[in-house]
Amino acid sequence: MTTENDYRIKALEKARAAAFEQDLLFKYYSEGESQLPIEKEEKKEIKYLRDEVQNEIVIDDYSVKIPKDSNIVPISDVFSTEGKEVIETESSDKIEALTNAFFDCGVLIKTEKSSEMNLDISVQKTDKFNKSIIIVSEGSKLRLLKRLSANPSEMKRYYENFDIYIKRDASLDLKMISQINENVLMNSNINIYNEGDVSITNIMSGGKLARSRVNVFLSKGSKLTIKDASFHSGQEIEDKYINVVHRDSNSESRIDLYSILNKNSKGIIKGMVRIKPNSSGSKTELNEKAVIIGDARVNLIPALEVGTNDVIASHSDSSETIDKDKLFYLESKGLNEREAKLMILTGFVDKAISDEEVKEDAVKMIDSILA
Amino acid sequence: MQATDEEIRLRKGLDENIVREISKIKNEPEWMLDFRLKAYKYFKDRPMPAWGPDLSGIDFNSLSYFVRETSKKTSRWEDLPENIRQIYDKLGIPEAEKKFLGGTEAMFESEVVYNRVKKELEDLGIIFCDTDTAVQKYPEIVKQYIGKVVSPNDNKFAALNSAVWSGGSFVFVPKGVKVPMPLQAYFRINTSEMGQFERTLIIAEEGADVEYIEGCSAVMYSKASLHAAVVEVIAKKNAHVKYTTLQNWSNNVYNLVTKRSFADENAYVEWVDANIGSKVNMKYPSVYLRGENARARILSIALANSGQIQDAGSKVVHMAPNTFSTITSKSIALNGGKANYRGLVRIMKGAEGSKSTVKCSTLLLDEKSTGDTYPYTENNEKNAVTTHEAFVGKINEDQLFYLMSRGLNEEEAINTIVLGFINEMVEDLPMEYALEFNRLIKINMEGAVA
Repeated sequence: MTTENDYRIKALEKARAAAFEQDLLFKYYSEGESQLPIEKEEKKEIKYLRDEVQNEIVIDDYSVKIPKDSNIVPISDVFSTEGKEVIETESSDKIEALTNAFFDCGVLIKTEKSSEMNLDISVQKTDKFNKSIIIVSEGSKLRLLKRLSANPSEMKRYYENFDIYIKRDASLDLKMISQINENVLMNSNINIYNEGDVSITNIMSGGKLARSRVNVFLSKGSKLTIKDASFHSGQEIEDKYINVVHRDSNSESRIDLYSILNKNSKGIIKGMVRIKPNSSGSKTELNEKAVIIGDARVNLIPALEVGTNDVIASHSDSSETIDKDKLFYLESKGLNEREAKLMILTGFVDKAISDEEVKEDAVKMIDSILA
Repeated sequence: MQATDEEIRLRKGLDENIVREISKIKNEPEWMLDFRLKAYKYFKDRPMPAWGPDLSGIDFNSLSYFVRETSKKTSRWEDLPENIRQIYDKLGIPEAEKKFLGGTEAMFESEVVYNRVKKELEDLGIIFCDTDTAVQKYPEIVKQYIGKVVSPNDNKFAALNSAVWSGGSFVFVPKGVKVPMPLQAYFRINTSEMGQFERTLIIAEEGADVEYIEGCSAVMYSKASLHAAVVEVIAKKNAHVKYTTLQNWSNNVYNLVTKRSFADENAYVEWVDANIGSKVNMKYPSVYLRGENARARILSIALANSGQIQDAGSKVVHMAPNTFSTITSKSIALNGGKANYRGLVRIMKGAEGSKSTVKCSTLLLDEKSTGDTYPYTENNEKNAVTTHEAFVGKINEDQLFYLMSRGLNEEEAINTIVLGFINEMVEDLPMEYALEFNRLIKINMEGAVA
């Protein structure tokens, strides 16, 4: 059994040894190595942080509406609860490993078998290394809305790891709304067991550097839908990588990534779908779409690795600006330029933000990057 | 020392002396030796590419970097592998031609044709010769353009080619001249040995128009395990260059080729690139659209059979306003072959009004075969539009069922669908190539059903 100390030391060793960008496919399409004080972070000692963890009840940083009979504990309890079964996840990324070494905040959520749970989480105090684990037990359903307003003041960066386990026949409806400034570094590992079903809607705005890594592993008959829209302006940089691995037959994934980039912002949107040789009958569709305004730039890389033939795999990407004819038409109907642009851009990301719970925030975010 | 009739085989391995020796044998001017020596230094300094297919099977010390055989070939037709001889028979290639393609005998019949073509081209001021001859006869033009499109320090294999290159075609089309027929390396090849490091340079002056075809649909048998060519194409204002390749090296060859072109104002460059042979093929024809309204069209076809990795694709850089590019890639993998697309579209800041369209499709004919797609799009200009779409999957079962219900057996039905899939390529080829290409695909598809 891994002890907390062993786990953290192993994670730190991994963080120290790992290259900043491990995937050679994206070596030239990676941001953050020069912007972040990673070296300083790596030199920290585990012992110091262990003390800090023990002295703090970290659930305070989360505002969680806890439903009856739920099983939610601070992440600091992870090694003394059922969380220890899953925490040995191998980190695939340097930043992820660093967060695993130093996490001092977060929650462990586990649903009861064949139950239904509704959760709203709001994260605000963010000078922390956050790690949260979600276990959606067999046959259960979890709807989770997570709001993040990250305004790190001292550290100037916010770390977050999310490890999610969707057990057999379970389903997760995850909605994330993130409004951030400074640097934000997020890693998620999502393991979907047989016949599991995951739907993710993610909208994000801001972030001096917004770096996110999402790994999803699909088992037999499981299903994944990702709708993702991000909005950036000013000098902001977004570096997003979504890696989906079909590990077994008849698994399905559909990933739609939208970006709106204004002023001098830059987006690097990387998608990768890997269909392993024993995944016959699987389907995947990966789409990346970007609108660039002003002097913004975008890199789009939707990659596919297909290891067997009985599959339907497709991907697409496109980049464009606001159509002048559409703008002219709307202005001729009496809208001012900003209103017209907002209407066009809202239409552009409509598929990703159709969920009522995120729509209002998304429209506000688009409006704010047009300022 | 001009040693045209002597058989020359330099010792295996590569060092500065070998580079000097090659230059000396060819009696080259000092500047070309300097070019080679600099390139050799780059080659030494550059690491092997860390991305893409595994190249660890290449042993630079086991290769001969310069071989010139006598006009009386010593190797015998009987020495060719049986499978290659069978393919020649199935393609219906004439006996003399077969022997030539097998590298065993010069095709004397074509000498007459070649000389006639040469006269017609010379009358129009077109230069069409091997690059070694060009260095001797037109040093100023070669010096002006060689290494300008593909720098000797571009990548490890371009550096290697620049250091030890031999052979290849040199084409110069004067201002406003339209070349009346497709130029074929096939015509020229008999007069100089096709090297494993050939260097091709095509210059189309303002308003010129030229179509060039290289390779052949029959297997090019090579004893050497590495083929690292460099092709540089310059299309000046209003010029049009179409470059067609049928790559069918024998399946022991690493084919690592750098092909690149510059397209100036209003110029149009087309790469039509079919890859059927070789063990590992890494080839990404590219176009730099440097002038306003320049256009690029790239059509890339790859067929990966058992044991083969076809890592093909293309690259377009939009550097000027209102430039257009279209990339179409079609790949087929069977019997455990691997067919990859790897491509880049980059729109530079200021390339307003530019448009790029990329379409890739991959057919996997059995469950052991694989296909990866790595498209990179970089858009730095808001007033530019890029689109990319790709599909990977197996043969449509409804199409198969329909054809079989019309009386075709499974193999015929699959052949029909595959030929339809790559029809765009076939339509692009001159008639004689198209026929052979179709037959070649069918030959490669044999056993696909099993």
